Amino acid sequence: MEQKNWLEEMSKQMLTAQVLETNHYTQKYGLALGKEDAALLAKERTDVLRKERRVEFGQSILPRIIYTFCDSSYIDQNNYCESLIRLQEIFYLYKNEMLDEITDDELLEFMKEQFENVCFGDFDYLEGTCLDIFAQAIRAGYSGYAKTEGKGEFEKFDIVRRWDRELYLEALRDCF
Amino acid sequence: MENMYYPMEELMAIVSKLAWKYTGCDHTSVTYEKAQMLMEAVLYCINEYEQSEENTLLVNKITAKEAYELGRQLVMDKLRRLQQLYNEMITDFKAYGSVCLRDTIRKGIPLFLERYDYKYAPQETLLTLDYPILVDLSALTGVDRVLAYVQYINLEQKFLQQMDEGYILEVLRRYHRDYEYLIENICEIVLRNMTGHIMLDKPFPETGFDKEELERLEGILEEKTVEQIKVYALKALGRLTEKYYNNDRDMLEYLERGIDNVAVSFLRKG
Repeated sequence: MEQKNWLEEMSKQMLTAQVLETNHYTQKYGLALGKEDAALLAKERTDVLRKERRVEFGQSILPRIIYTFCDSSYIDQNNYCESLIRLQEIFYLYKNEMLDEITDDELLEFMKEQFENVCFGDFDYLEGTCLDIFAQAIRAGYSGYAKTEGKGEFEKFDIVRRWDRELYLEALRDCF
Repeated sequence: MENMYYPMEELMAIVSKLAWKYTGCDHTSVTYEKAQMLMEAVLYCINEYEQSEENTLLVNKITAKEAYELGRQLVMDKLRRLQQLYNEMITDFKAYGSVCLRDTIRKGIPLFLERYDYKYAPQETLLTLDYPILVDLSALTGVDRVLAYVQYINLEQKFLQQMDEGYILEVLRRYHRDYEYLIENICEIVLRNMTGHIMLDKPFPETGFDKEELERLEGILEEKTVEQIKVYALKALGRLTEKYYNNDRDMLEYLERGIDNVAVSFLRKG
């Protein structure tokens, strides 16, 4: 047990250092994490990995989440740390839900695109709708994402009509 | 599954590298189940190294990584030996009508050779090896188990092929009308019949026993205990291997494992 804690502690320290390193890049987007934030993220990562029954060896996914999402229109310094915690949770949950069929890069690409263009910064919608529908397709055997690297995939499965011409014309008529 | 010689951080470093290769560098994390599978793969290879006789005393002198790599080499060597032995055996292989033996060897072993993953899951046996042999291999897994199994099947084949095929088929038919579908060891059935012949001094080509012979056999067995029959059968088996099998010690040792059942079955019938 002592040995396990020692390993866990070492892993947390390594991750904290990696996360602080990302500040050099994210500062241009007005985002930075303090030592406490980095330690909190490392702790949350340990908890979520345990919850999702996954093991991460060596390089963590968290720096890649940071580099992917730091230019998001919906993340600012006020919600930066909380957003990363949520994204980390969602990422590991859907690695399992997609049965590891999809690579880290493909999943991150898909998440980013939906977060920006479909969910408009809503984590619950990203988690409960977009990724859920996509995970169902993957479990059913869909593999088209491999060609597109996860880009432009959601429209194929979207259950919501995003552009309703009639509704638009009706709203336009009401204006005049 | 634990290893008492190497610290956990050394083992984790090996598992970490293996996981990275396993996921094709596309995934930074794996499920507990996959991590466990990879850890078992590492421990299997290390154990393979530790178990090889000449290395037992060197265990403490090399790192876990070195022990793992040498162990993995031993696993690959065993896989090659299995392939070679199978290729040699299969040309003259006879199932004597046994569906179970035929399927296990003709279908099962090639499937194992095709699907065995010596890198990421060397501990997996993959097959249930349904045809029963005279030795319990349940303590072994992976290529260790399949190689030992094929080695024993090879000994069985050598034992049976020295006899007339017609005699074997007749013995099996007399044992059970639908013997083809039984999941029983053929050698044991033949061995039982042979021991009966030796007890009665009856030539092997005459397969069955008539009423008079059975009564004589009953007389011989009447006052004997299982242990006495066992000793008698072992002596008979020793003479047999000496005369017809160039005193093959491996074969003798293997067939001796079936003597217990042969002795008990005689007493039951007697």
